[in-house]
Amino acid sequence: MSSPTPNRATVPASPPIPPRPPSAPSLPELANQEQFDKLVDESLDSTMASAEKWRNGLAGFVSILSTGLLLKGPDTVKDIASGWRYPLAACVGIGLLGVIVGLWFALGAAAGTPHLLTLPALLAEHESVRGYRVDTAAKLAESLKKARRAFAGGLAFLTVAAFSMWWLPDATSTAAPKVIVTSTAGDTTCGELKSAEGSEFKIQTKTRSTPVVVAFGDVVDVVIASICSP
Amino acid sequence: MEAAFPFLTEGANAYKWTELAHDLQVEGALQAIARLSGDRLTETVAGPCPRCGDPITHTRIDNAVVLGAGILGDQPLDGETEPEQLTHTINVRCNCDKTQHPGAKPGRPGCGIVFSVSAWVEGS
Repeated sequence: MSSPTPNRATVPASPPIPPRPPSAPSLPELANQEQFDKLVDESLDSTMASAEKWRNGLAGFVSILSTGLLLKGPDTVKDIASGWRYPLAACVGIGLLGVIVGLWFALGAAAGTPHLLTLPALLAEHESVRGYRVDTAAKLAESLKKARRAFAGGLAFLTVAAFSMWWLPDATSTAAPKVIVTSTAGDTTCGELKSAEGSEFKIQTKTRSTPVVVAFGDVVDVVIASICSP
Repeated sequence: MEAAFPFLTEGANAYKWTELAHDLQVEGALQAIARLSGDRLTETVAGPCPRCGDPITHTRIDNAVVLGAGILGDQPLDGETEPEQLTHTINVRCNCDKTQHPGAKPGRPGCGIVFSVSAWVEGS
């Protein structure tokens, strides 16, 4: 019977020392380092100042866009062919959602959320107060990046919607086709066909407020036309 | 009580201080750490000064959040522009405050020397 192998304490190998730097720090290098340290200290303040400007700018954009869409939007959409209204509304909706989400992120970066923090918790997560300031500034910068992306995406949708209004078919161009009905009496009636039920045509002409009724038995000829000649 | 080492102005960044610092590092007396936490690199050096021997501590963050030019900025925040490095060179100024070195301006700690040490980059 073999004796159990004794446990050998393993001595952790000390990590090798990295190579010696090839040169001493130069005076310009040290001066740059001192100036860079000031940038590190200013990280949070400068990022918060930038976030406030972004928030104000995006809020201005959103208010202008919203006002324009609320005031002019319904009238503009009425003129667009009904089949195009839903895609256009979706485009505007996504665009507005994008700019509002962008504003939300910018608002979050500028306003922040106050919360209780202890020094041990701060040190555990960020190692130092300066580290906390830099980490917080980096998070704010990340929020601002999301805000820019959301806003740019939203603006792209709104731009597509705005430009598409120029060439989308309007409501009149897709109106129902006209019919020209000739009766046995020799009268012709031209207008929009409202119905062909109950053995009679109901035709809406431009000159009357109520449809003209022509019985099937009185019809000699029916022609589809795109327009009614005056 | 005044230290035997006067505050150094000439040759404060001579290469011999970097050589002596490396020797202290090899002996294990001087520790240099470069810890990467996310995109943030924190330098820490602790041990005796290569010149006066007084204990020094150096903690510095090597990242700043700065404003890029223009609306889109001119530099990505992800730090993807810098290649991954295994070692990091730390420039340290002696900041011992055990004793006031002769010739040092009031409130200015240290014996005046500046040196470099290398550290392995640890962390994610």
